[in-house]
Amino acid sequence: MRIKIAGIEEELIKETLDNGLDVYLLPNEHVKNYYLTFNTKFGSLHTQFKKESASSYVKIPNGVAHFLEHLTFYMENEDASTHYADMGAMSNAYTNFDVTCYEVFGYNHFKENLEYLLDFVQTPFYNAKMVEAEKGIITEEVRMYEDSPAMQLPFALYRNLFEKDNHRFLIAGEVEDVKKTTLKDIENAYKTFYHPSNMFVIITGNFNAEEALAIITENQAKKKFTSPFKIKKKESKEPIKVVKEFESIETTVEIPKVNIGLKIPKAYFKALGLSEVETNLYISFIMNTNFGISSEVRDQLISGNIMTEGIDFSKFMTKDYYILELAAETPYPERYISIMKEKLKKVTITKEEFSRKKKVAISNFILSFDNIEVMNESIQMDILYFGEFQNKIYDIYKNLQFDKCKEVAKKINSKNMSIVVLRPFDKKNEKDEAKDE
Amino acid sequence: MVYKLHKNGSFNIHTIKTDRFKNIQMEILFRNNLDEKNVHKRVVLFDTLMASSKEYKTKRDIALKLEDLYNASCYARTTKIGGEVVSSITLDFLNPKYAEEEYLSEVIKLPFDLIFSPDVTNNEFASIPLESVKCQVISDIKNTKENPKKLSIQKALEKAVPKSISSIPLTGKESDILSITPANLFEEYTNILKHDYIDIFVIGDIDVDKMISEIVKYAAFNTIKTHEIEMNVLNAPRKKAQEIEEKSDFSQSQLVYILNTLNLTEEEKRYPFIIYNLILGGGSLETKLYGHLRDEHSLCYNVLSLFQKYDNLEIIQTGIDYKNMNLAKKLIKETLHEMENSVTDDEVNRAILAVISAINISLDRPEKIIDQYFFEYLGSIEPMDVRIEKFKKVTKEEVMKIAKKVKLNTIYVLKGGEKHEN
Repeated sequence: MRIKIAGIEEELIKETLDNGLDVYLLPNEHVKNYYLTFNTKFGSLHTQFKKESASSYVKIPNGVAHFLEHLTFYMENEDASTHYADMGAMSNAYTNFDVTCYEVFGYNHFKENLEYLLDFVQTPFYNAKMVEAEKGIITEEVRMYEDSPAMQLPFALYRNLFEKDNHRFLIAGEVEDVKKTTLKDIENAYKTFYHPSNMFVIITGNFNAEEALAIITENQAKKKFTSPFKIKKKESKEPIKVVKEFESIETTVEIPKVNIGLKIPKAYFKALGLSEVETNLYISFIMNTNFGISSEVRDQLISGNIMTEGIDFSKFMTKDYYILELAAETPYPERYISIMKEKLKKVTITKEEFSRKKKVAISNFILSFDNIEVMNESIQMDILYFGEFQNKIYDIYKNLQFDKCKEVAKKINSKNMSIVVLRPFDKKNEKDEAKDE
Repeated sequence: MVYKLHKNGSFNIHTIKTDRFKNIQMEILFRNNLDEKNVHKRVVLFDTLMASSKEYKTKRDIALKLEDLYNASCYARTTKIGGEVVSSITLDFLNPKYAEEEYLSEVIKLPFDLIFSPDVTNNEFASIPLESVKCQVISDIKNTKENPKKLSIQKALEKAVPKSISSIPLTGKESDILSITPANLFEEYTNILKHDYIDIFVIGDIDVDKMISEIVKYAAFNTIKTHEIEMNVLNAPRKKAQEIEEKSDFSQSQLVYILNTLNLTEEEKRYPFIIYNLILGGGSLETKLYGHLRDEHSLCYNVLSLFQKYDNLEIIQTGIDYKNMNLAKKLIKETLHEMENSVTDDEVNRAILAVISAINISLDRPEKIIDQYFFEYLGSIEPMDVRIEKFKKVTKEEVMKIAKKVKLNTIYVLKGGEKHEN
């Protein structure tokens, strides 16, 4: 099926194979390389699950999706990354909350590299000994994250925002989770989540779409899979209240860092009659206007030397909530928090600001087609968060209304807010402790 | 892709015409010998130029203007290439064919406005934006201390080559930044405009003549430079290697090796040593270090080697549990020895493929294409097709021979993990 992408002369090809695998192809003859991703809708959130027909749920430790990602690269006679190195291509993988993604970047040997991607991901090869050996590597990876303020800051916030939701756990799990992971956990996860009907392939860049589709279809037809099945993922009902409104943590930072998280129920926006895509776009416009690079509050904080860089705004959705995060580095966390709290009470947008953000968004949309990695990720995000590729984003941008935007702005509030501060170790206390000893 | 050099007396314009991208990128490059007493001022200066000007008083004013210009971006960066320092001002903008008639002129004018109409009164920069930039640079200095990998490499370099330019951080020390005044920064500004070599690169689907006439209209550089710039830094090897250990509050310990490369010829630096580094630990998952430390002994998540070509140094870095430190050192020693007498054809071929692949991948990134032509213009690399052919000819014998031209200088351990010892 050819899907026209509004606002730009591009077409996306989408096919669903008999085994349930979805294939998305976006060729770009102007670039030299291609980018292949093979994705499974299995991320760190999914720790209790079952096939729809099964009577009981399987429970696995935190971090199994990431652990399995590591093991998938081992083949019987070689390592998949060695194979790609021998083909002059680059391979890698990552796991986040919602997905495990295997990626290949190359400029030649398209057929071989695509077939091998499908094969190595769909040929599990691991045993108990390999699981044990991998634990040392993953433990060092977790320790590396423990020393990274960029990782500590969001996860400290998520622990305080969520009581039940698995977003509160590290993607790779804690060292204890890694230690207790077994071969059985890995096998259970693989059998459930690596069925083609739970997976999708995205190819962007310089390649022949017809040929790509033929390669994937032939490859999948040679393999035997059980019939497609539905997966039920157990999700606990997340209460509206945050677990902890404020936490200050002493750690290996030199300058304090603050992360402010807002937990806003999706239900607040229901009466506005907007789609989730539209609500997301409006929220981005509003937050970027109020806290982005051209915002007044940023200017105030920077010129007052309250903040050193900018405010890093990000957002994600859970089943019932929008989570809006505002992270920054500040030598004066108390003052910063006080200014931000005031600003969050009056989040607003003018008609002029709205028009400017619309223009910026359309320009970004056009330019994103130059970048095959950005486009691949954008298709992936659409599939994960909205269920399908969004081909009418351009039209949606064009039709966004200022009045609606103002309505959305009214719904953004800090009723359910959590704040985390990372502070340097108090050297004075350390000295006092040393004296006591 | 069509490259052309247009000499303009006091500066050069390099155009690279290609229909590969919907945006256009312009880089204004300022380069000179690295002056260790003033390099921190240069970092602050370029950030200050990007923070305010006569017309745009605040960073917000500049940001609003950029958003009006279809979300163009304009930013500065200063980097060190051996003994040379390069400051760049990059402007990324939409191809004018998607915008109004006057767009090109308006967008090109902006970075030159920031350069030539700074927020200066009586030969002094405005103090409020300057103080903000100073805070930001001090925070960058402090942030290095939060990053175990960066911190351990910086500390290892300071121990290994203490008086060399190679161990000097561009941003200097906090006290250096605090000593910058509106007046001494203006002196640095006039000095840079007078003495830096200026090259302007533009890449995209451009009308070359129109682009040149717009740039010439605003680029008011007016001094001709003739002095030499020396990129190569000769770091003397140490008679006996030293081993240093320091404590930290981090969970993980960091292990860094600093090695001197000995009398490598330009050709050896450009080809066989690049392959040497890729086989040893240069970035991929297929390196000897990765195989021995991670795959065979599960000691680490990452281990890498870096070739600092212009500093004549090779660096190895990994993060591990302190209890495995001796084993890691033993494995690294064995790996370095293995590089001298046990390199296979497969390893060489794989490294060659990796470097060719990296060259090809760079062709989809405007900034990487500019880098290629810039370094080619400086004479420090050869054209892309020549490089590919020469890499293909590197043999395992050359790699093993060159492995003997490496000498250990310093092993540096940043000890962490106190809280995990049980």
